[in-house]
Amino acid sequence: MARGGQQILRGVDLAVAPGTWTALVGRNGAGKSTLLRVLKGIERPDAGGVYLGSGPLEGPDPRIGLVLDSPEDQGVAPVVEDDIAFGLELQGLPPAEIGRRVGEVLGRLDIAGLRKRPAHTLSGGQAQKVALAAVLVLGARFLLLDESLAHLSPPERDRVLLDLEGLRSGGLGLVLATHRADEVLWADRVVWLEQGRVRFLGAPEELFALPECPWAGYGERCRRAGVPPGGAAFRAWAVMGQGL
Amino acid sequence: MIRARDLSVVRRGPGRPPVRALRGVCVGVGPGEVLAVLGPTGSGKTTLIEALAGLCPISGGRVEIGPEGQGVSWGPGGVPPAGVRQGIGTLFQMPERQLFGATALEDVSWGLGPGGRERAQGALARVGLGRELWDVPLALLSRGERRRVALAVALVREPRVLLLDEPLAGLDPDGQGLLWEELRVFLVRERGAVVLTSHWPEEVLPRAHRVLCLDRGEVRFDGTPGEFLQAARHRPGLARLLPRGWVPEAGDQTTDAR
Repeated sequence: MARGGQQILRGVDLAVAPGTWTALVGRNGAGKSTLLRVLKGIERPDAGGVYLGSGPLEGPDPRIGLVLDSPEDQGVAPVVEDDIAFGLELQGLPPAEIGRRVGEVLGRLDIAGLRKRPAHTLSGGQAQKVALAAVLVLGARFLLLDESLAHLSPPERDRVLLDLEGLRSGGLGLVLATHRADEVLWADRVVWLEQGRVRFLGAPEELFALPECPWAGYGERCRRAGVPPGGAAFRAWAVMGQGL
Repeated sequence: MIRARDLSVVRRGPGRPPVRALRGVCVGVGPGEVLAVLGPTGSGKTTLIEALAGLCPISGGRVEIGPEGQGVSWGPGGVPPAGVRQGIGTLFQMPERQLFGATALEDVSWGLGPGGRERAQGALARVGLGRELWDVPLALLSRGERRRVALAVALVREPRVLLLDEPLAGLDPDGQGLLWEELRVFLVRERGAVVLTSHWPEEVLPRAHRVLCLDRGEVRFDGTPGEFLQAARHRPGLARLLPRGWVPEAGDQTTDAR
């Protein structure tokens, strides 16, 4: 991928399996958002390709959900429930089924009270949860989250992370772009992009052990505090409610 | 430097009953100080920033800028005079939206007059945007890079007061470090005042002089970072603001990093 003659992504190889959690980190401008847009199929790479299952990805696919950091960018309807229902209406589902699924996803994210609210009256965090609901309701098998938790308050974020873990254990493949070390901990592995290349690919604790990593030493701090250093162990610990 | 007394704001929008977004908020920040505003989403943090900036009408109380009792103030129905607005730099929650120039340099130098280009270059260098990106179309910059441009816009007019709505969200660790360094220079050298909002106490407590917690438009806590940590031990409402997966560094938290 290139922008204005400058390469944004160069030779990135990445596979995301169902039921796994990948964290995507890197400086501003490293290519994280672009990679997610390519994976979603809304940007075409100049070379290489994206494959879903056995076939190449030809364009945007409802099996892959993308949630942006600014939810206003993906809202389509003025009222919350209509916004979430929009994708289901496109699929031609009967209204009763749409209503049921919208109610279910609102309940799952603990925002049932927002159902009738005009979208423009939501706070940043509330709007982000609505955007997440609108993607989840379509039954996506892969979820790409572009700093989607950045505007949530800590308790809201923790709740969404637990929701995401529930989705992952149900077989969803997750890719979460983030600037926070404590969100990296949730991932099985981390992709560190630098100037469009994969600089590092490995487990969170391996990333934290790199002296040049911006969070060098975080793994050691976790160990001292008795927090599992990432992946399945951390998620099990978090789900058990220790520290959450 | 900037303070609000008994500030109330009622938000009105089509298709919903009026919402009291702030009620009876008293807040103040002096020269060389950082006030961190915490609170859950929907608690009124953004409304407070907009009200202090004179960008949303207030329904009760007063906002004053300048020396206490001798500054310029406005109340319900009032707006800050143009000269006062010049002295306030504002960074919105989605700062990439506040840009409209074709390039970073054009956006930052907009309206500055003679010598504006050089001042804009200085501001862009201060926020750490690489020189090779100054003349690239803004649409080609990443979100985080555009945030740096917006910060340069807020700084370039040499404001006395900076109002920053979630300035740390979406910045990489280097960018966060640069922002704090820039704010430190602003506080110490220019004796400016900073109000910033965040969801993350651990990000702001080491650097803030005062912490204000909002919940549903009302002040639930107002004190120093140390007092906040004390209070959080006893008040579950404050404790839930602290992120629980986060492991602080030894010696983090209160005053040492200021």
